[in-house]
Amino acid sequence: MRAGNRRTMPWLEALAVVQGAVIATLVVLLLRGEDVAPAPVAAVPPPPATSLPAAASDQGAADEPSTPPGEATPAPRALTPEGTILFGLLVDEAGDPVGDGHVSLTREGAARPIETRSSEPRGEFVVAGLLPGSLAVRVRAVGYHEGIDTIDIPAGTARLRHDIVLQQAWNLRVKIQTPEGQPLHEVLQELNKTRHALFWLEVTAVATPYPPDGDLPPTDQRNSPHGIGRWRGASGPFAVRDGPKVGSEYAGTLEFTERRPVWVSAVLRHRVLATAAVAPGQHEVALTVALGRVLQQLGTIRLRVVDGMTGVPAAGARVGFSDGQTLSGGEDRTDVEGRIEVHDLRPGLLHMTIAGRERSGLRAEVLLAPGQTLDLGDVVVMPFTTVEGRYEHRGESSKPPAVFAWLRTASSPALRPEPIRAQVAMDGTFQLHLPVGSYFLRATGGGGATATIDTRALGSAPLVLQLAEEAAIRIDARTGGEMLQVSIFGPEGTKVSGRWLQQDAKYPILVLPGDYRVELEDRRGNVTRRTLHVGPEGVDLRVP
Amino acid sequence: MRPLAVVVFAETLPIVLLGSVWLGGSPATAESAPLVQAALATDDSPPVAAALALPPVREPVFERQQVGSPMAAVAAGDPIGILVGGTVRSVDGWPIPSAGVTFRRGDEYHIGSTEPNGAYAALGLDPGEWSLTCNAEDFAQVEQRVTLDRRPYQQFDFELHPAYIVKVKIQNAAGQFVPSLIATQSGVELGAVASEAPLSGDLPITGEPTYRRFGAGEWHTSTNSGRGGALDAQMRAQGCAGELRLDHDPPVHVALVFRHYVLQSQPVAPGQHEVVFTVEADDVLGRLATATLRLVDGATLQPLPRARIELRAGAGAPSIGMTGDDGRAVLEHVAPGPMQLLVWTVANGFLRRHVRVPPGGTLDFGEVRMAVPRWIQVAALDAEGRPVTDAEVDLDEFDEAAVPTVPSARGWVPVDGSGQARLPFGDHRYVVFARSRRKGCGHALVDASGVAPAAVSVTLVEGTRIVLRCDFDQTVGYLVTVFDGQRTPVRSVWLGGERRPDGTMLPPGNYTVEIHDGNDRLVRSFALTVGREPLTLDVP
Repeated sequence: MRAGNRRTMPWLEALAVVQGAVIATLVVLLLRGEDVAPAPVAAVPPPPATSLPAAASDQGAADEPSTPPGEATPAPRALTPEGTILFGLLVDEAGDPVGDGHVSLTREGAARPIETRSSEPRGEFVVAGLLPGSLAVRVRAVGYHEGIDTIDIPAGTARLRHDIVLQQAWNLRVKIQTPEGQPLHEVLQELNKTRHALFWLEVTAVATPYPPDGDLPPTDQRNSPHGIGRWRGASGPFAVRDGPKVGSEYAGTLEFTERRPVWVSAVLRHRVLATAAVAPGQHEVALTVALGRVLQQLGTIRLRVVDGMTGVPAAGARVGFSDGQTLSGGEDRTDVEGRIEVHDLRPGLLHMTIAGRERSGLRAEVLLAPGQTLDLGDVVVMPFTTVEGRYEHRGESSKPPAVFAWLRTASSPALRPEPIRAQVAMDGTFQLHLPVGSYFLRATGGGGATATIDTRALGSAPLVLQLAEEAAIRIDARTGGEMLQVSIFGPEGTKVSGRWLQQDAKYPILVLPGDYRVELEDRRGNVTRRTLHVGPEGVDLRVP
Repeated sequence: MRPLAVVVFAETLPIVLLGSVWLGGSPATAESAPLVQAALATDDSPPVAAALALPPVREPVFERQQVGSPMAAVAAGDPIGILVGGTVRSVDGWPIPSAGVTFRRGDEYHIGSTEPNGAYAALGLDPGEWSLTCNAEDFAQVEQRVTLDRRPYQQFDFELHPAYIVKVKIQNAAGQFVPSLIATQSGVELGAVASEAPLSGDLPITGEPTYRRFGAGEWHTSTNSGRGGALDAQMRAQGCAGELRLDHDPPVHVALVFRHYVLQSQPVAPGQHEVVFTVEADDVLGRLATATLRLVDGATLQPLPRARIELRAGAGAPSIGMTGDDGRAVLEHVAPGPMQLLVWTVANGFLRRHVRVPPGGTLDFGEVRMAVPRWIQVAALDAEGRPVTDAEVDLDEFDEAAVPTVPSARGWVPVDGSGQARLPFGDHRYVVFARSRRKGCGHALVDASGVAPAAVSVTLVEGTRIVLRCDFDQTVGYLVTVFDGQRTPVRSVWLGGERRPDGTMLPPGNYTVEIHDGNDRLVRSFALTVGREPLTLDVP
């Protein structure tokens, strides 16, 4: 017992001393922590802004050394926010805030942004919860060059401030006015109060590096996508809230990345109405267009809608024509003879929709020339049917393909049927909802296949598409700034790809091996054709 | 020896206590974790303490970051202002994505949305008192007042409790689903509210079709909740008109409401997850009113035919009518309460007026005159007379408007690059408002009843914050109207039910303030001089 006591005595004493020291340390820590809690010490100026493009981020300005655990306030129990808070200001070169800018962050090697944020009116932006690593940052704001940069987020950084300086683009203010000096958009706005079809009518501006020698290529978009620079409409039905801040006398601005001589044209879709030469850095250009000249470009389409099953004219069918960006079910209805005439149509490529009682017309594209009255003749509407199908892979791809169907023959030669996309499921099945008729089918993207079907001849068994490996046509277009349309047609004469290019571009088109036709069309409408054999390894196609 | 053992034992206790306090708060504090869990966490918060305090996460993919230490005051004039960040988690520790964290003060608000790892951030805040709200789908909302000091970074973490769900069935004596029976009348919608105590009467009037958030919970209707057709259809198939998501467990009292009218009420006991209200469709439809008017041209007094007339509550479906050849329109089945009367004509433009529809019976607006609108250029200028290009402008006609008026959402029009916008004026007097995040606010009186001015300018000045201190029950509502020296109503703030702004901004000047109750009775009137310093008004 005594011996035992003698043995344990030093151990107990040592423990008592250590515990005492621990208590004292904890008391000191707690007391020191209380002193630290109420805060502000000194003002720290904001970090220097980083110009874009810039090589490095300004992480050092906001990175603060961490506090040793024992020196901090333990009282309030806080969760450490996950990841890094990235924040900063968008400013211009004069230091003024840039509001409504869009900041997108993309992880290195990823295709899609992980975050997209808008800056507040005072230019501030913030993104929370970012993991360490390198982020590509892309900043877009009206009136400024697009900024592209990389931000490195070091591990262990709670907050990182990164201010971004945007460089002002060359912003050319464009007036489009009548000979009387009135802004054309105001005149059109007044006119559409009585001619409601003119609501979508808009005259915009396009810049080209050469004087246009005629109209631009027709487009199915609302306004011509051709030319250089970016059009920012400030008036008309599509002026957006975050558009350029210019006076109401301006139609909009053209935003350029480089200062060079350009020709600016007032256009109604692809129709060129007026052109003026503009010197590099010029601030403003005025184009004169008479209202009458605009109205002359409007066209008319007439047609008779016929029930394809009975041959009887379809009375009361709704017919609409719209561009590819404007949803319009059609306000006009056919008369008792199934006839209709639609006026005040803008020239260019238009999508036609017809909806009748239990019958619908296929969506088709029609090209309306400026000022044209186009008679489509009889346009057939058919009942809809559903085609069930499945696809089977012969190759290694496990990705479901996209399946499209084209009507083989349109009822009017002026109509170009638009593809109908099937609903494709991961279980290998697909469904096509389309009007009764004869179709060409094409599957692509997860293996390729083509087929020709007539919905009236299909039995109850599902349609089977045997997918084969596709090969790539690797297009390398060197346009030299000239407009060029690159179209590729399949062995069946179906267009598998068609794209207008302004800048150099490289892109692949997936097709089944075989012989194809390549068509190149320049801005003057000159077309050159060539054949192209696509083997299993694909083929490189350099154009022009 | 024995005393030494006692000393060692006695020392153990303070070590445990002090250690636990140092490492992250006492066990008692942790268990009774407040909803806003670390409102005081600062740049000095210890990483170790934070790590120990963290609840378990699903997988270790989120790296914990240290919070830096040196603190500074927020730099004056820096638009970044105070940066606020933190984490939103459920009580069992899972991060909650897509939760909204909102700091609100009067008309100003700053919003952060949580990332998949529960982190959020917001910036641009100033020191002072803010209303802080955190909400997330299927979780009880947290709301409280917080005070930001001058530190550039401040942290607020949230632990959200799952909402307590009470399904609400509304049926008639025959067991039929009443919302379907009344759905034929557009804009007629039943709802439910939860309160701590039984409601003694109707709720404060509301500009919305029905109350969404009130008292102890939030109403989610199965008829247009927007959560997705399948879920709503499933609820309706079960006879549920919607569900109340309570901020805390029962006991509560649940009331069936039609706009601000309380139709029935019943208690909900702990553990109860369903209430059934039995009401006849006629009890609801009998409260609907009929509205009539005659629309005429303001100059010629000729009837205006084929004009579209709407009576609309907030974002709800409107009651619609069309004027005949004699300019008369009849709108039937109009829900009672505050409404916006909206008129569209081909030649005479658009009219918006705030009206109050009484329950049942017929309300005749009489002859409504609409002049062909004159588009007048409105310029927003700063104190030095320079155009303010980020301003927005709007106008209120106040000749025929009911004063006091319960305000509804404005139709702000952004100015162009020269700081101007065109607004349509009729043959009346108007208040034109302008606001800018950078330059403040302003208003101007425009008399367009005679010869209309060719142009109008509104000078924006830095507004002074007017805090509205509301020390009254949520079942009561008050309207605060501020008049300038010419008795032009320049500000209307409705404080009632779910809508209770904590303040407004006014340019310096002399004003008269009138406070009305929900029945339009004048409760208080007084003069107010606004300088540069913030003011606090007690309501009522």
